[in-house]
Amino acid sequence: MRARVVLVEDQPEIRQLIRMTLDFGDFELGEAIDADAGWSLIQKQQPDLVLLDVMMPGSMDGLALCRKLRQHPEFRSVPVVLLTARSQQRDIDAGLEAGADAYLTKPFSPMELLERISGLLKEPRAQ
Amino acid sequence: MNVDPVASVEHTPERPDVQRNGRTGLWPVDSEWLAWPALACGLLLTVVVTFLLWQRLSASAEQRFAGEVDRVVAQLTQRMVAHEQILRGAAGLVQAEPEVTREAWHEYVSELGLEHNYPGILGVGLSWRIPAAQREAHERQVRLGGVPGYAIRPPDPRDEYHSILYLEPLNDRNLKAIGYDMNSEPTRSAAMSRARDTGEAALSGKVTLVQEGTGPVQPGFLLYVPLYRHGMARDTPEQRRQALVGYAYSPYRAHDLFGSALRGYADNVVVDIHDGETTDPATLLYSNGDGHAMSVHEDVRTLRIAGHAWTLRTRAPAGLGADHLVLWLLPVMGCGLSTLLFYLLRLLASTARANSRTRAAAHALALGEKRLSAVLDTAADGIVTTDQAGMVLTINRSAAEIFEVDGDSIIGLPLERLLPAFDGEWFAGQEVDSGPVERWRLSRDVQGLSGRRTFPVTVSASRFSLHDRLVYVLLLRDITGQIETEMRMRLHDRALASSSEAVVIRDVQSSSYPVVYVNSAFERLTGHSAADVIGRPFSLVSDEFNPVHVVEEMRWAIVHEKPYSTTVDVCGADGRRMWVALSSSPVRDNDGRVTHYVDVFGDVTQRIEFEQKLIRRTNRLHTVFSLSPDGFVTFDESGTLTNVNPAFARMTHLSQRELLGLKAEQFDRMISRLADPDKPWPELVLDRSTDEPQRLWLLHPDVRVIERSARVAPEGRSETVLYFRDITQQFEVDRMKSEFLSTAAHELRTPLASIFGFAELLINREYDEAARRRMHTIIHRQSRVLVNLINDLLDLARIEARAGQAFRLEDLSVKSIVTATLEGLAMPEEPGQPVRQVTLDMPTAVPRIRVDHEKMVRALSNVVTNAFKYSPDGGEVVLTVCEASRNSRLMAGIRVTDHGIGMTPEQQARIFERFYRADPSGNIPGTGLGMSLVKEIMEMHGGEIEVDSAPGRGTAVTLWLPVMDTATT
Repeated sequence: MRARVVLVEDQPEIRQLIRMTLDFGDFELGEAIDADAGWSLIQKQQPDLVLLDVMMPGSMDGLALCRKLRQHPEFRSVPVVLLTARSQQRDIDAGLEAGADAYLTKPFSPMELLERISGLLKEPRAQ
Repeated sequence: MNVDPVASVEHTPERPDVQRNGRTGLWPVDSEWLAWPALACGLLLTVVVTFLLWQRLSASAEQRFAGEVDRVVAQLTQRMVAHEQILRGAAGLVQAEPEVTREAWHEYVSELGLEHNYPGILGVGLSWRIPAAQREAHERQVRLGGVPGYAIRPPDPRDEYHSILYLEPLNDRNLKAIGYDMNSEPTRSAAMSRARDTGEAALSGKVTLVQEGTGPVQPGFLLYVPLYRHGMARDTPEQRRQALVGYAYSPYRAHDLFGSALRGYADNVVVDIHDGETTDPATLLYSNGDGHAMSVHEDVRTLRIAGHAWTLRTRAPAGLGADHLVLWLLPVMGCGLSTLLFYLLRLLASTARANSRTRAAAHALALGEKRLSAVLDTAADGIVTTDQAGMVLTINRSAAEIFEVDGDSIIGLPLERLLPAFDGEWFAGQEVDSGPVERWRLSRDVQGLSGRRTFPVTVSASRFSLHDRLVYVLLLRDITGQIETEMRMRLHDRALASSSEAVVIRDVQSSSYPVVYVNSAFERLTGHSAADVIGRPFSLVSDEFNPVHVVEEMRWAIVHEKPYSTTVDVCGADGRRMWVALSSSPVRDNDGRVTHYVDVFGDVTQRIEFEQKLIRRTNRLHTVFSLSPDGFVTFDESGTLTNVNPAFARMTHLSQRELLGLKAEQFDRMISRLADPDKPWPELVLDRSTDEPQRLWLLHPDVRVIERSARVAPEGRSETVLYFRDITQQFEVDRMKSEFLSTAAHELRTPLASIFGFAELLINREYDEAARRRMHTIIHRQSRVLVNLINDLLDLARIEARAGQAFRLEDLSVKSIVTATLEGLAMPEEPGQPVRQVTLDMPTAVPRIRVDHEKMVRALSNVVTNAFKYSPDGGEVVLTVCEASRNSRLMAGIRVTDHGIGMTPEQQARIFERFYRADPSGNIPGTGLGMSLVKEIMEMHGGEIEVDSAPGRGTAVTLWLPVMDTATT
């Protein structure tokens, strides 16, 4: 069965990059351009993993959505990978605190992303 | 004034009497005449009393005298009766035994014990009647009978003879009488005859006894008792003559008889016994008088004893008993007393007269004494008098108060108890050593003793002689107060002298107000010596130097006797200008009149300068405080808010009025209500300087970040100054810098992520040609974004960093800027894209502006590029050059108008934010720094940016720049 991944990212170039990266594996990818759209998509697609850009326009940023997922009983255990241009430790800490399982700073290696996604899907999070 | 203090004090308690006597007198004045009646009365009384006494004494003496006389008479009579009885006894003997023998007679007489029992009687004899015829026979018979030489004498022949036959005791003297015929002698014969005729005892008259010898002859007499023949009738004298046989008789020596008979009976009286009925001295038988004076008492009476008369004259001797002495003494004493009384009265009268004469003087004296007494008692000085041994005689009230003793209790005690220096030795020493009494004076300071307290006393002593005794008068003054006063005065003097303040005392009673005193500070400050100014008028403030009103004020003050003070600058000692604080006050005498003015002034130049400096500094500080953009709040030591500056009020929108007087806690609560509740609130602690500023996050009235520092005044009052620094902007800059860095990093990383990611994909995987091309295009485009971004960032940084310094300003025509801009844009952004055209609307006369050409072109390029980018559907872009007056300045405007998507007001508000892009979708390329750069450049040139936009309608951006002038092309 193909793993379902939802990507929430405002930059079209990055969406394209990730789409092409995920072509390496067997994934079913859903894309959203902001957090609100992402939330709707996640609820609809019930993804196995969520990729979240942190800095996005709109009422919610990635961190907020991440927290929202963690507070939701259905998505509490869905692995979340944060992608962000913010590279300071402070930002990483804030991300992990919000409940993310992985934190990748831009620019990131597509191969590494792939490995992390595969890893997270293989070993479901301990509840 | 020479007053006897002893007398004065002794009189003091009797003063009321003295007063009364002074007025009415103990004795009426001019009453000397009274002495005479008094004398008369006295004498009269003496006479009367003497008379009465004399009467009484006389009566008594008479009575006693009569008694005495009666006793004498009775005794005498009784004695003679006794003698008569003896003779009657003898007669009885003869009657019983007619032939009585000599022996029987002798026996009888012996038994009588004549000498013992009846002194004065010479003997008891028997005289026998012998008729003449029987004479011879008789004589013979007797001679035979044992009496040789017996013969009847005188032998002359008579009718009958009477011979003494027996006479016992028959002593030598009586022996001479034997044989004597008593009848031969008339006196005896008369008595004998009477006895014979009467038959009774008969006493003879005065005779000289035959027994009398050679010794002193006493008068004598004889007592006869007739002897009758037994058995013969003897009723008639004739018969008795016939019956007579003889006589029993006794001869008596008058002196001896009376002397013995009256012994013990006539001791108190003088008794003269005369024979017969007269008191003829020739008839004197006996007298016990010894020639002493006789009293008036005399009793003469005639006694009839044995038919014979004796006259008894009894007299009392002078001073019968002791009465005569009293009688004499009484009048003498009476007279004496009367006289004494007389003289006493005279004396009293004269004294009274003397009183009367000296009454005024005495009254005056009494008054004087009273006054003196009052003076002594009210005298402030203690006055003590002592005798020469130092015993206190008097002490006045003040002295008693000085020594805190009861005045009366110390009198008679040694002065030493009060003044130890004046002990007995001292007094003894004075008497010996000192000079004459009237010259003696002494004054010295000693210690007085009052209880346990000692205190200094000035003693002035003098002395005078009173009734040969020395009296010391000591004038005492407790000089504790004086010494204190002196010390205080000295201190004041010293304080005045050593005062750094100059002191001038002026006499304002003189019209010129001469100086009477200056101290050394005056000399030092003014440079005038005391000698120069004393006695002369002196005014520190002169018309020459000082404003008129100061001089006028001072004169006014003196005239109205008011104190005044002022601070003026005057000419000092070395001619330099000197500020003095002068204060002048009037000095009033006891009547409230102003006599002097005391001016005190000190050099306050330094102070004034300092004050002025301080004022300047305070003003500066105040200005700083007021103008400071930072808030200042001060609290006093009690934690009350005392000061708040306008900046703080501005920061918090709290007025000074509502803040002043708040306590630190209230203040802190009030401020904390303005704070962001999500942020920590550092509580305000006073009295402690903060090491680091504390950060306050305010939400009201504006969002502000404020740093609060506290400083406690290092010394003195622990005032706390709170310093509020509005770091909102700084904080914002910091935040913006941080955000900028963060954002810039993000903006840099985003294109890098594409470049890096696609490059990695290209390396790791084989793609078909189309895909590869697409990926290469992305990488290229993102690289361009990156380059633009880096350029813009660098431009922005450069402009900011140099802050206009690197500008090369030139006077340029607007036209040249516009032209250069449009030329620069005349190439496509992306190869193969059409070049967008700009419609130019530029007047012929364009203004000149002073700008950096390159920067201005860049700014205009950004605006034009934006116009192109945000009107993606084409549409006309118009560039207009205009001129307008803005804020009173003539400005040149370059307006770029598009008909693109336009902006909401929210978007418009953010267009100068860095990295802000009105289109976040990424469809419109851009760094988000373009308008920031424009803004920076315009600000550098003193220009303005005007944005007019509406969503869907387009946007007009006008760059306004100050016009230098307008040039025609």
